[in-house]
Amino acid sequence: MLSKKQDIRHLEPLVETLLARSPGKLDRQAALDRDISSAAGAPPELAPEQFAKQSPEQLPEHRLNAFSGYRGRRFKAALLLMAIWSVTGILHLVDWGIGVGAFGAIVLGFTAGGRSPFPSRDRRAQRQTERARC
Amino acid sequence: MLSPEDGGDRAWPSVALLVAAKDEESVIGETIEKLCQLDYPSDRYEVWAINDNSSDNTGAVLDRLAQRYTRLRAIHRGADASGGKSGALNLALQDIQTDLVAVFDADARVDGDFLQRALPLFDRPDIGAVQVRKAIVNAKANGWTRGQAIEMMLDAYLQEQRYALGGIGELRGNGQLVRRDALQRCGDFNEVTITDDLDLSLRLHLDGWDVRCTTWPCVYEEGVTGPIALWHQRSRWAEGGYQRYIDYWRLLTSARLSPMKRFDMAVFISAQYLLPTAAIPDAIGSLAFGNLPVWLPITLMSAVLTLVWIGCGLRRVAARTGQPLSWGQAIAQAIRGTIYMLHWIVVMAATTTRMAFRPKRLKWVKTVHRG
Repeated sequence: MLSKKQDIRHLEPLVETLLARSPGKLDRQAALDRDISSAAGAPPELAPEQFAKQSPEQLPEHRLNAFSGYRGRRFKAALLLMAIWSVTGILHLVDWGIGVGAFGAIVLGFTAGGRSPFPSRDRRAQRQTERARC
Repeated sequence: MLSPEDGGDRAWPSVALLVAAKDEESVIGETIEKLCQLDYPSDRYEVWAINDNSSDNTGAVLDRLAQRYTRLRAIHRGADASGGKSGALNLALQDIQTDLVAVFDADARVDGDFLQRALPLFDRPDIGAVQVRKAIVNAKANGWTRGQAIEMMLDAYLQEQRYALGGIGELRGNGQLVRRDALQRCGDFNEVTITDDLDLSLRLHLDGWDVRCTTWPCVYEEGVTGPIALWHQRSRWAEGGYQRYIDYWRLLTSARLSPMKRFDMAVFISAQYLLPTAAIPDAIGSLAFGNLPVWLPITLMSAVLTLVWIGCGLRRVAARTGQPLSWGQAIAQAIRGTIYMLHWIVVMAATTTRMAFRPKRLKWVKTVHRG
């Protein structure tokens, strides 16, 4: 019988590879773990150009115009409600209906990332970031 | 008091603190006074208070404070003004030239070093906005406020994790800091939505920015103390939450968002919006056909995860605030918080049904602040 620690050992190279491929995530996690209080009393580490003012002529080059008004909201909400009721109803009519719910639970369980369920990932991320800094 | 020279070679970014107030005479005075006394270089921040056609003494309070604090600009909107809170904020934005804009509610309270702690979180050029944790100042008032305190902590903790994993961080209206140029690129605040914060969050992501969420520092606000006020507030949040997905669904499913953000959004919508809405047909189907509820596994999984996340979030916040919390206390609060969170099932199911059957209206029920 393998202990829990031995049981997951074969996953370590995979985790290392995944972390190495995602430097952005490492930066985020490292920034998250940083003690914010240590930064108090000093200006943010921002390159001046990041906050450089843009002239009004520069800005209109790009302006996101994504909002198309609230027309059709009621229709779309009705469509969504109908879809939810229909899918749920159909799943009650088939034998494997609860299997879909179980599959959803598995997906949610596997994607419920974060610090607490995967503490080793945080420690690895921190170590990798420190290594990168050196 | 922090002076401009304390920054050494680096310059402190300039910040405009915005507070839109409508009939808030009981709380606005203290809020503005606190915001005018933050420990930050005096030439690098300004406070803008917008009196949104108040029928009480809010305007007079602001005018009196504007005489005392030179950094305070008071703006008054008349009865013909439109756009609600977004309209009020957009009016002030026309004259604001600062690097960052911070938005607060009329009852907001922050620590003196708030800006010093919050601004370092803009440590990457693609972070367009930062949302700090909302804490309930009257958490001990009754069971409703205790529940909200746990809920806010859970929200901040989850959002922090979502951001860390490359997912979608969301703004929460109070205690949100946004780059002025990011806001301008996104078209400022949307005046035809009932939740300007959620709407702006998605537009920032669609424009390629990240929204960073943090459990520390925090902004304190009053929790609602009764079930009716809670119902109105949650219904508005739920409807606004739906609206943004309905309004932007085409863009949200496009390549404008990274695959991780799209995946995160799909999981979030399923757990937060679709699952509660499906609870009613699931219960009916279960009674009609004698089956187990088909969504039972995923509902149980959500409940267990909520329990775990509340416990972990409480511990994290306790560690950051220096107030120790035992596992026993964390578990007890987590159970209470999970039971409290069940009200979202009713809110979401009712909101979806109402949106589907009743004509759209921009109804906004004011949350009363007592101070």
